This record gives sequence, structure tokens and C-alpha cells, in this order.
Amino acid sequence: MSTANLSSSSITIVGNNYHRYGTSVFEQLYSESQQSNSRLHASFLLDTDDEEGHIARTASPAVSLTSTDTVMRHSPALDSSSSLLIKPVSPVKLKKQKYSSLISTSSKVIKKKLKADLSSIHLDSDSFSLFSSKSSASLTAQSPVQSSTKPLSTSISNPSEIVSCSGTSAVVSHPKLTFRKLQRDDPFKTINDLPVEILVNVIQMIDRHNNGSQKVLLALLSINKNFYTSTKLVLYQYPKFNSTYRLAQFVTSIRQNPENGLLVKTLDLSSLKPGLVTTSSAVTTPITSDDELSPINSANSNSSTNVASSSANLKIDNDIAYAGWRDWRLRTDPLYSSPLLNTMNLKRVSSNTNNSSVSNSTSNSSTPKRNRSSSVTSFMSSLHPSISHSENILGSATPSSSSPSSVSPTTPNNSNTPLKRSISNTTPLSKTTSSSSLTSNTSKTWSNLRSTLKNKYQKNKQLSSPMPSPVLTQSSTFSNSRSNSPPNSRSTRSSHATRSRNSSISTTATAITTTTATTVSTRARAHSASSRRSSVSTNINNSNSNSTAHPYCNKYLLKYASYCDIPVGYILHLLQSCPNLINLNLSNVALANDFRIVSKRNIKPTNDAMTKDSQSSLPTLREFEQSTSTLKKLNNLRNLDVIYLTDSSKDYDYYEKINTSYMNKHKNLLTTPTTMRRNSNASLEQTSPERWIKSTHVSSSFTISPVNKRSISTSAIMTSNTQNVTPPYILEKLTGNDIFNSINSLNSLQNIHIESTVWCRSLIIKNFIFNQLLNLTSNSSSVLENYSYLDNNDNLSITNDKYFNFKKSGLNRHLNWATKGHFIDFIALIVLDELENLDDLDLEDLFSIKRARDPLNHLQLLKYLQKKNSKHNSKYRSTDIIESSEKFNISFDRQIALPTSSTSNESNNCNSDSNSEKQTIEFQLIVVNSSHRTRIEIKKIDNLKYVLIVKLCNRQRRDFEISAHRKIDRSTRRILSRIKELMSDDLRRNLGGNNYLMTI
Amino acid sequence: MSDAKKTQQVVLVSGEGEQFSVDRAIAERSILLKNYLNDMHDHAASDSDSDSDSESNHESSTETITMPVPNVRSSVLGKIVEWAEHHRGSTFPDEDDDDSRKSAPVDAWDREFLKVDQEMLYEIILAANYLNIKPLLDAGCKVVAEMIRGRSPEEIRRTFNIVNDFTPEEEAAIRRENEWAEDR
Repeated sequence: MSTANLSSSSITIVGNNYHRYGTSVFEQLYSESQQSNSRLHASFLLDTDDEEGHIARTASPAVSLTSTDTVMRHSPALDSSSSLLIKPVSPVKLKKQKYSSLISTSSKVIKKKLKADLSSIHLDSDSFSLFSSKSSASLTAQSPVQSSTKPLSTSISNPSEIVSCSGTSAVVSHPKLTFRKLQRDDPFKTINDLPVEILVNVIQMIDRHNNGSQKVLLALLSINKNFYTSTKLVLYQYPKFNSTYRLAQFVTSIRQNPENGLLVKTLDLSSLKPGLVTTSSAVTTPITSDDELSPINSANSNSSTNVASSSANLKIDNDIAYAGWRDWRLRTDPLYSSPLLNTMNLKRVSSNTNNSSVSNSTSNSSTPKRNRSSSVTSFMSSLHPSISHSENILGSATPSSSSPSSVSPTTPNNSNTPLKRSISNTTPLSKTTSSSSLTSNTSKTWSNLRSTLKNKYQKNKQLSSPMPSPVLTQSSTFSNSRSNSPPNSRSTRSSHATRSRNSSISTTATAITTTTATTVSTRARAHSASSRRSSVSTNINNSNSNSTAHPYCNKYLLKYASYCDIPVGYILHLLQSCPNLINLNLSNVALANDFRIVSKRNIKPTNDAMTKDSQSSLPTLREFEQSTSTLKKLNNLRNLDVIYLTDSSKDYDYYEKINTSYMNKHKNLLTTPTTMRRNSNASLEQTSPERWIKSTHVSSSFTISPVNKRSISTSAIMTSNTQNVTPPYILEKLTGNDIFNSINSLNSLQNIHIESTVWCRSLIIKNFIFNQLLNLTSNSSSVLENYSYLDNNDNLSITNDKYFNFKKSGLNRHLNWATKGHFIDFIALIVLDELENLDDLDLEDLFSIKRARDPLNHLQLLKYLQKKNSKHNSKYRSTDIIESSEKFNISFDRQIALPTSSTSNESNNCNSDSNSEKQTIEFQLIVVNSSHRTRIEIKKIDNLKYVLIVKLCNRQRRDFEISAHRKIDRSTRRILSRIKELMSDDLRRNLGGNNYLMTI
Repeated sequence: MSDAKKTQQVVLVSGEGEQFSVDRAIAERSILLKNYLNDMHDHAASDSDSDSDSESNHESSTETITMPVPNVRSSVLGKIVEWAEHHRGSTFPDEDDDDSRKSAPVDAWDREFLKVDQEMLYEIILAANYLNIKPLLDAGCKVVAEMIRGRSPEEIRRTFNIVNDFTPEEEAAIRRENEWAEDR
């Protein structure tokens, strides 16, 4: 019984477009479908070819086999056929395969051959039957059963092998056929057949020649899923950042995708650069003409090459800077994320004015004059007449917004001017600049853009929507929303602006999709999708481009451009979400102040709040909710819990205000309940901070005076928390200690480099080192075996040891621990440091100087030492021992194991004070004479008792393998000389009494 | 014994059953085969050594070891034997030294040798991986890496006949997820 017969019995010729079927087989053959089903088709196709004397694949290397080998060839294939059982194939999936778009990708020769073959197949009914999906279903169902009768031996993981075997077993009744099949069908191996580790190897090879650029890896990510998984392994293993903005993005990314954090092995924050843009004097300003297709990219390459080539010609551009983490943090804040206020756009405007020579004033974009802006507008409109219409709309809209009531302190009254100006500028740029001039790498030309725009504006004109004519660019929509809302204090209006901006964009999107009949419709839709996306996560680029240029800094954040500090919260996030870190480099990192926000209540996600609000609000907003709900799925940026202050876009004052207003409210609650009643009219039941701001704007078509706002915020919190008396938030300042506590919980960490930082303090390091020691010893008793550096060859053996580098760290210049070395070196350094800091009396006690004066005691001591040392190590003779101390205690703050990031909410509740307790470790110092280089040993007596043995070289040397050893050497000698001094002092004092001579 | 080892012939039997007779030293380019030969045959030999010294020595030098390599097809095995024969005397950078191994350029002969169709290239890589021949594996990976390097995703897909199995949404998600990796 053969399956060939079986299948031919159920012949169903589905259609007569055989070429199409043949093509599909061919495609599946060369495509990477893992379904042996389709491969089976292929195999049969090729079989019939053979019968007719056609050789389909010249590429097959095994063609020249002779029939004498048949039996031998047969056996391994049959063996491997067993794996078919493991991997049954569902024939249903076959139908889902796409029958298009691949033919062009295959090699021409084979294609030609196949077509020739196909023409012959037309005559062969057997092959047709196989093409029908029904018969193939029965066939595949059959083949595992058949193969199950064969002896199972090796299991071969290669899927292509499976294919060949399935073919083999299917036609097992024809020995000759089977033999041919073996050569033929054997696998069209493609790059997807390579296992992940090999692909990773390949990608690493690619990555190696990139000089730290991750562009290539990024491109590889989007090839297919196979490449995606492999590339991610390489990319996340050693992520590289050169701006704090990218770092902030990374923090957000791995918080959203915690599985990626597990891949991180090396975290290097030492090469962060400040956002200053440097241009050489020879090169003109980054963007000179708007008609350049990718102005930003060229600017990038300009500036980067300039940085690389010569630093002499460089001058720092004061008007423009790359974005930093502050920009990312405030990405949802309409003031700071506004593309209008982006330094890049402002720059571009100014360069425009220069080009047209309309204005003779210097292009200082920070303080624009009104008359200049109008001239720019006219200039722009003359340049782009197609937009003149939208210009008018905006022009009519802007005056209404210039009501000078209470504009925020940061912007003067004429703050409308830059807006209008840049609108006139950014409108023609629409597609590329839609926000903060992100990508301009699209393949579209400017003429395209302009025509698209024209169409869009015409559409917009026709649509007499209640919204004042939505305009496509984010920037101009923003200005619209601005013109709607009466200008309040900016900070409160902010969320409203976001909302209305988003909503107007979404309405724009729908407006465009309704008029898809036009030729531009598809492009417009694509753009609206991308702009929508970018409106949510502000600096997401146009989806068409493969790379995003680094965004530029907001005008008001320009003052931070020269910093490259990192908030502590980010580092803590990183350390918590990357538990598999091996190398950590925090060198040159400056810390920005950060606070842990300890919330006494559960903060509801803002999403819920918004939907709830919208039900009682304007219908347009409800629409907006619906449109964004899908976006939320794509982008759950806002769902991340706010753990540290820098996770939210609010500042310290904000939380303080909540607290104070909360406390005030409680006083009010007792005294004047009437105020509450009045405020409750507003039906504000907010729990989350963002919420009340939003709802004030939802429910307020009226202007809110600062006083009013204050009272509403008070009531908002009051209504939700009438029971609680404690303030809703407690802000805890984060310090370097928190970072080290986090590092402590990373068990796989091997190398820590924290060079040239000021936030490492002696106390912190001491706590850190001893916590490490206790962690090591408490985890398992055997670990310490690695730390007793005793070795018969008298060589320092360093196995399984952590390596630290704290060079040049600390507030002082020459701190003992500010060096690099291994873990035990640091233990020794800190112990010696403790000893050095003792005063004379303590030192005398510790080294029994008084007791040594008594000869009897001295002898006893020697005996005692001998006995004691023989207990530890019989190797030391008593004469080798230079000095031995009594036991002494070193106290430090023992840190109780940090809760992991998964339970971060709970961890917020427990105070940081309760995380540590005082603990003491007992140490004893023994200094031994040695003829080799200075080395140390640490012996563990019990978990909290250790003996530090310094084998001091008997002559001063300068060459040390590890620089920590030099410090140990020096420190020990200092202690010894002090002891000697003390002894001779003591001797001198008592010379008259006992005629005793020191011999040591 | 060592002399005997060098002259000893190993017969490698491919997946189809074709036999390749090579010197043992050549076969031992493959760590897999080397370990196997050491473990199985030398062990057996030394066992028999204890019984009758001269006899077994004589035997092991003349006896050919048959070694099935079922996962590797004849054509591929032929190529690998060819490679091993050429690199009979070559020394390769230290295996443990990842850096030098990965940054070293591909040997000119290897490059020429690996100018085969893609399918063959992958099979060679897979076989080198299976047989644990690090230098050949690295050379293969480097050749593939060079095919990838400097190309756009679309070009890479065309080159390798890869189907883009991402939906546009997934692509957007990937881009968002990894936006941090963009250059400045």
C-alpha cells in the first residue's frame, strides 16, 4: 500500500490554472514555510519530473549518486523519519499560505527550469491530485503512520530532514523513487534553517565591525522573526547609548518588555554624551534649506563627523541641542514636547529668515519679534502658496488666543508669535517634521508632500466639522487646541492641550479615511496612522523610515543640554530589570536628584480615569477615547507605574502641593464643610494626579483662576480620601546608597566599574562591600572556599571573583578604596582603612602594646600566636608574624534583601529605613613577612568572623599586579609604622622601670 | 602510539553512505570526531593494551576506524574533508579568545572555498557546527555576515529568500521597542 495510491484515489482537481498551483508549490519550496506538507508537494512534483527525465534542480549536490548506494542511503533517512511523529503537520495551514510575491526572489535558472517542468506536469494526473489540498491532507495524515512502523532511532532536529523523510516514507513502495527522492528532496536549506546560536554568531560578526553603531542590528530586527529573536540577543546583550535621551527610552522599553531586560549582560553608561550640538565653523548651520530631503540626517552626519575629525574647529551651537532624558520624561507634556518649541524647528525658522533675507536681525530664536514673524509668514506663504489657505485659518485662530490674561511665567505675552511663526514653517514640512522634526528619511519628495498637503487642506475645508478645521501636522493642531482654550497657567492647561490635540488628530484621521477615493488617500492614511502614533508617544517617527534621527531638545530644556546626568531612578530601574548583568559600568555618571514616590493609596491607571471622565463629557472626547483605546494597546507607555519621580512628568512641587493641599484640606474638613459641598458640584472624583488636571479641563469651558484651581485640586483629593490622614505621597530622596543596594541584589555581577564619580562615599562602599561579603557567605558556606586565597604554589589564585573598579571615585582624592581590584582586596582595604582611622589608644589596645611590655606577657603572646596560627595555618612560623591584632569589630549597615522590581508596589510602602540594620563583623589582622609580593588572605571562621592575613613583602616594591595591592601594601606599612611608633613611645615612657629591649 | 595515530585512517560515512577515507589527524579537526575517537577507540585500545601490548598497537595502526556521520550529506562531507585537507597544517586563533576569533578576516582560501550556493553554505555551516569545527564554522558565519553587512532589510530578504513574517503592527511595535538603539 502506498500513499501515492491513496492520494490518487481521491483526485480532485480544484482548478485548471495549473500554473498557479505550480507556482505556489515552487514558492513554498523556496519560502521558509516549515510545513512539510508543502514540501511533500514539492517532492512529488520533483518525482514526477524525474520519471520524465527532467532534472529540476541542478543545484542539488547529490545528483550524481549511483543506484548501488540505495540501501545505505535509505537507512538514515528512515531513521530520521521518526521525527515526523513528533511534528505532525496541520494541512489546514496550507491554505493560508500566500501565493504571491516570492517568485521574483528566486533564482532565475531554477525558475525557468521549473516552468518547463510544469508544462510537462500538465499531462500527469497524479501530480495534479497531489496538488489538491484535500489529498495532501490525507497524505500527510498517512505518512506519520507509515513511518511509525519504521525503527525509531535518532531524532534529528533539522526540519528539512523531516521533509525528506516524509517524502521517503510516502512512496516507500517504489524503491527507485525513494532513492531519487533522497537526493532531490533533501532540503532546500535556507538561512532560516540555521539554529539561533549560529545566527547569533553571524550577527555578532556583523556587529563587530560596526564601531558601536547599532543601526545594522536595528535593520536586522525587522527582517523576520528568526532574525528578530537572534538579533535581540545580540542587541540587548550589550546595549550602547550615547545620549541620556536614548537611555531614557531604553529604561521605558525594558520596563515595558521585562523579558528584554533579562538579556542584558553588560550595562555601560560611561560613554553618555551631553546634548550639545557642535558645528565646525566651516560648515554652515545644520539645516540650510528645507528642500533637502533628509536635512536632519545630513546634519547628524555633519556634526558627528565633525566631532570625530577635529575638535579645533568645533564650536558649540547655542541654539540647538539634542534631547536629553528630560525631554523624554516630559514627552507627554504639551509645553515641553511641543514641536513648536523644539530647538530644531526654531532653528530652522531662523535659518529660513536668513535665507530669504527678510530680516536683518540675528537669528536668535529665543526672543522673536512680532514684525519679523509676520514677515516670515508672508515669506512662507509666498513660497508655498498652496498653504495660504491654512495660513488664513491659523491666522484667524491665533488672535483669539492672544488674550493676555494669565499666561505662564515662563512665556511672555507674545508667546503666540513663535507659535505662529513656526506654524507657518512647519506646515509645509508636515510629513517629516510632524513632531520635533523626527525623521525625514522618507522616500517621499517634497513635491509629493506639497500636493498631498494641498489635497488635505482642501478636504479639511470641505469638512465643516465642529472642531475648527483640523490640520494635519501635530504642531498646527496643537496651535488649534491652543486657540480654543483660554490661556491659563500653562501647567494646568497642559493635559487638556494634549487631549484636544490628540482628539483633533484622530478626527483628522477619520476625516481623511472617509475621503479615501482620492489618489492621495492611501498615503494620507499612512501618514495619519503614523502621526497618530507619534502623537501618543511623541517622538515616534514616521513608520516608513527605518531610522529615527535623534530628536532635539526643547527650547526650555536647552539649559540642561550641557549635562549628561542620569536620574537615580533610571539606574535603579535598569538594575532591577536586568538581573543577569555581568558587567556594570557607571563610570563618569553624574546623578540627577530623584525621589522615590511612596504612595499611600493605590493609584488607578489613568486610562480608567479618562474613560470615566469622558462619559460625562463632550462627545468628541468620547470619540477620542475610542480612537485611542486601540492605540493604548500598541502603546502602553502610560500604564507603567510611577515608582520614581522621574517616571512621571510631574515635578517635585507638584507632589508637594498635593501633600500640602491634602493636609490643608483636612484642616478645612473639620472647620468648613461648606467649601467641600460647593466644590463637589464639579463632580470630581479623582484619585490620580493626572486625572484631576484633565477633568478640570473637561468640565471647564469656564476659565479657572489659580485660586479656583487650587480649591478644586483640594476637593479632588479630599473626596477620595476622607479616611486617610497621612499625606498621599511620601517622597524619599534617592542616593548612591540605593544604587549600591540594588547592585547588591545582582548575583551574577562580575565586574563593576564606577570610576570618577562623586556619589560613591566611603560609608557607602563599606556597607556595600560587607553586604556583599555577607551575601556571599550566607548564601552557601562553600562559596567562601573561593575567598580563602591559599594556594600551595604561593600564587594568588583568583577564581570566581568579582572585580571592582572605583578609581578616582569619592569626594576625596586619594581614598583607600578608590582603586581597582578584586573583592577581597576591597575587604582588606576597608579593614585596613578602619584600623588607620583608629586613634592611638585604640591601636595600642588592639595590638597589645601595653601587654607586650611585660616580658612574660610577651612570651605568652608569642605562644598564643603560635597556637592560634597553627590552628589556621601551620605554615607560618612565629618569626614570620610581624604583627597580630586582637579581634575587633567593624559595624556597618546591613541591608535586608531588596524586594525585586516585580513587587515594586509593595516595596514602595516599606520605608527605606527598615531596609537596613546595624551589624558588626569581627576581624582580626595578622601581618606576615613574605619574600614575595604583598598578598592577602581572608579566612573565614564563621559567618561574622574573619581573619585578614596580609603577607607583606619584606622589601618595598613598586610593581603590583593589581593596583589595590599597592594600596594594601602602603596601608599596612603605615599601620605598622604607627604601631612601631607607639611601641617605642611606650618603651620610652617605661624605660626606667623595665630594662627591656624591643627586638622586633 | 602517536605515530600510529597520525597514519591511522578514519573512514567517514556520510548520510547517504558514501565513504571518505581520511587521515586521523584530519578527522580530528572536528572536535566531535576527535573526542569520539579518543574516547572510544583509544580507550578500547588502551584497554587492550593492558592485555597484549604489541598486538593491539599493531592492530590500531593498520586498522581503519569507520565513523558514521549520518547528519552530513556526501557532498557536504566531501567539502569539509577538502577543507580539512587544505588546513592540515594551519593553526587557528585560540578558540576561547572570542575577540580575535571573531574579528579576524576570512582566510582567502576559505573565502574561495565557501563560494558555493547558499544552500551548500548553510549545510557546511550546519555540518561544521555539528562536527564542532570552530574555524570552519567561523569562516562560514563570516561569509554569511558579509552577505548581510551593509544591506537594507529588504535587500537582505531578497538575498536570502526570507519572507517578512511581521505584520505592520508588529513592525511598528518592534521599532518602538528598540527605538533606544537608534544612533544619535
